[in-house]
Amino acid sequence: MIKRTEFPFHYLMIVPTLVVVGMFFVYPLAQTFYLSFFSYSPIYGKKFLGLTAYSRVLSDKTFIDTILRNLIYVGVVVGVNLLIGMGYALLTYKAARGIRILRIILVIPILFIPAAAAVTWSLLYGEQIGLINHFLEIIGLGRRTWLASGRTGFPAVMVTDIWGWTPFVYLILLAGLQSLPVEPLEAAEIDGASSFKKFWYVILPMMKPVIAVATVIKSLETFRTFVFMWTMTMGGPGDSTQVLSTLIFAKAFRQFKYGLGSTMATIAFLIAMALSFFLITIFKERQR
Amino acid sequence: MKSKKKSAILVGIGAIIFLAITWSIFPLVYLWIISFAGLGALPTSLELPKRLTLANWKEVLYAGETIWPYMLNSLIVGGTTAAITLAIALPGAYSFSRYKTKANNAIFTSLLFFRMMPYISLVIPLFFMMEKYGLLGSRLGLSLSHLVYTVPVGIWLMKGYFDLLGPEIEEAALVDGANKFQVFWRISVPLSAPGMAVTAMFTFLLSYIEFLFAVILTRKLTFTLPVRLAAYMDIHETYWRLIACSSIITLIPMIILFAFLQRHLVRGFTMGAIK
Repeated sequence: MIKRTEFPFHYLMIVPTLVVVGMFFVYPLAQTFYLSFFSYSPIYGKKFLGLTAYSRVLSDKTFIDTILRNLIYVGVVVGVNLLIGMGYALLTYKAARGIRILRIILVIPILFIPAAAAVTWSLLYGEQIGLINHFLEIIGLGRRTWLASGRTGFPAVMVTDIWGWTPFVYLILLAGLQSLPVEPLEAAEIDGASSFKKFWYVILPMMKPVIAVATVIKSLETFRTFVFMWTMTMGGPGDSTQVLSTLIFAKAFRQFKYGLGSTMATIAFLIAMALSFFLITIFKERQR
Repeated sequence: MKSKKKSAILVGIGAIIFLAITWSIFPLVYLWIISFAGLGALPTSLELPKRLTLANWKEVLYAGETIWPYMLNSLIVGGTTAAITLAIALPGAYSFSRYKTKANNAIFTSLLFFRMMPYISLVIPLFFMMEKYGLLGSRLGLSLSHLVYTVPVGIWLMKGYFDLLGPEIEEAALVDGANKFQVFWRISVPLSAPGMAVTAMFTFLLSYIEFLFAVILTRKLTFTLPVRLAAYMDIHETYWRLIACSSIITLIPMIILFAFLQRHLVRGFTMGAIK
C-alpha cells in the first residue's frame, strides 16, 4: 500500500545528473558525430559529404602523422612518468624525518597549473634569457633555439609535461605502496632477498592494480594534451609539435572549418575509446 | 668490502636525491630570480644582483595591468562551478549510493567513461551552444562547460562518502517517521559535510587549472588565469619578468587548496579507485 503511493524519490534525485549528462556529453557528442559528415564553415555553409568526409581526412598525411605523434607522446610521457614516479615512491615510502620534507619537495611541480608550467618552461628554454642555454654556454655547447626547432621542440614539450605531472603519478604510486601488506616483504627479507629481487618479485606484482589505474588515467589524460603545445609552440614549427587537440582546435577555431574539425574530433574520440579499451584489456589479462 | 659497497650505495642514493630535488625546484627558483630582475638585466648574467628591483612585482600587483581581474575571474568561475557541481552531485551521488537499481548503476559507470574522453570532441558543439544562448565570453558559460570535468568527479567522490555513512542512522530516522527527503536533507547531507568540503575544493581545483574550454569560451574581460598566462606568450620574451610574477601568484590558491586536500588528492585524481 505504502509502496504504491510512494514518490519515486531516487529517480527524481538523478534528474539534475541526467540533465548535465544529456546537455554536456550526449548532445555535444552526437552533434560532433552529425557534423562530422558535413563540410561546414561560416562562409560556404553546410554541405553533406557523407563518408567522403572521412576518406578525405584519413588520406591526409598531416592528420595521420598527428595521430601517430599523439600516440608516441602518450607512450613516452606516461612511460617516463611511471618510471620517475616509481623511483620517487620507492625512495620515500618509509616515513622518516627527512623523508617527509623530501616528499613535499618532490610534489612542488604539481602546484603549477599546467599553463604556468608551460610559460615557466618557455622561459627556461628561451634563447637569450633561458637558464638551459646559459648552462650549455658555460660548458661550451653553445646556445640553441629549443622550442623553435623541428628537432628539439617536441621533446622539449614532453619534458615540460613530464615535469608537471610526475608528482601526480608519484602520489598515486606512493599511496599504493603504503597500503601494501608488510608480511610478504618481511618474509622476503628473512629469506635474504636482495633489494632488487624484493622489488621485482614482491612489490611489483602486488602493485599491479595501482599501476594499472595510474596508467589508464594518466594515458587518457595525456592523450587529450593541449595546453603545453598551445602555449609553448602553437603546434609548430611546421607541424612538428602538433597533436590532435591543437590540430582540431586550429581547424575549427582558426580556419573555421567546423565540419572538418568535427570529423577529426570524432576520430580522436574513437581512438581514445580504443586506447582505454586496449589498456584495460592488457591489465585484466596480466592480472590473471 | 661490504661496508665499502654499502657506502657506495649511500652515495648513489644521495646523488639521486640531489638530482630529484634540483629537478623539482629549479624552475620555481628561476621564476623567483627573474621576477626581481631589473630592466636590461638578463637573469643569467652575473650583473643581475646589482640590478634587482621590485618594479615587476609593483606592476603586476598594483601599478600596471594587474593580475587581480583575472584572479577574480578564476575565483568566480571556480566557485560557481563548485557550487553547481555540489548541487547536482549531492542528490545524484546519494541516489547512486542508496538505490542500486540497474539504471542507476549503468548511469554511474558511464560517468567514468565521460571523465576519460577527449574533451576536444565536445568543444565545437559546446561553442555553438554558448553562442546561441549568449553565454560566449561569459564567466557563467565557462562554469557550465566546466561541469563536463567536475560532475563525474564530484558524483564519484560524494558517492564514496555516502557509502561510508552506512544506512543504519537513516533507517532509524525512517522508523521514527521521517520521510525520505527529510532523511537525505536533515541527516545524510549534514553528516557528509567533510566530504562536501573535499568535493567542493577538488572541483574548484579542476576548474582553476582548466585551459581548453577557457581559451575558447572567454574573452579579454573574462580571461581566467591560465588564459592570461598563455596570452603573455603571444608577445614572447618581452614580458618575461611579468610572466614570472604572474606565475608565482597563480601558485597561491594551489598551495592553499593542496594544504587542505593533502590526503584526499589521490582519491580525487583516481575518482576513488585508490584511497
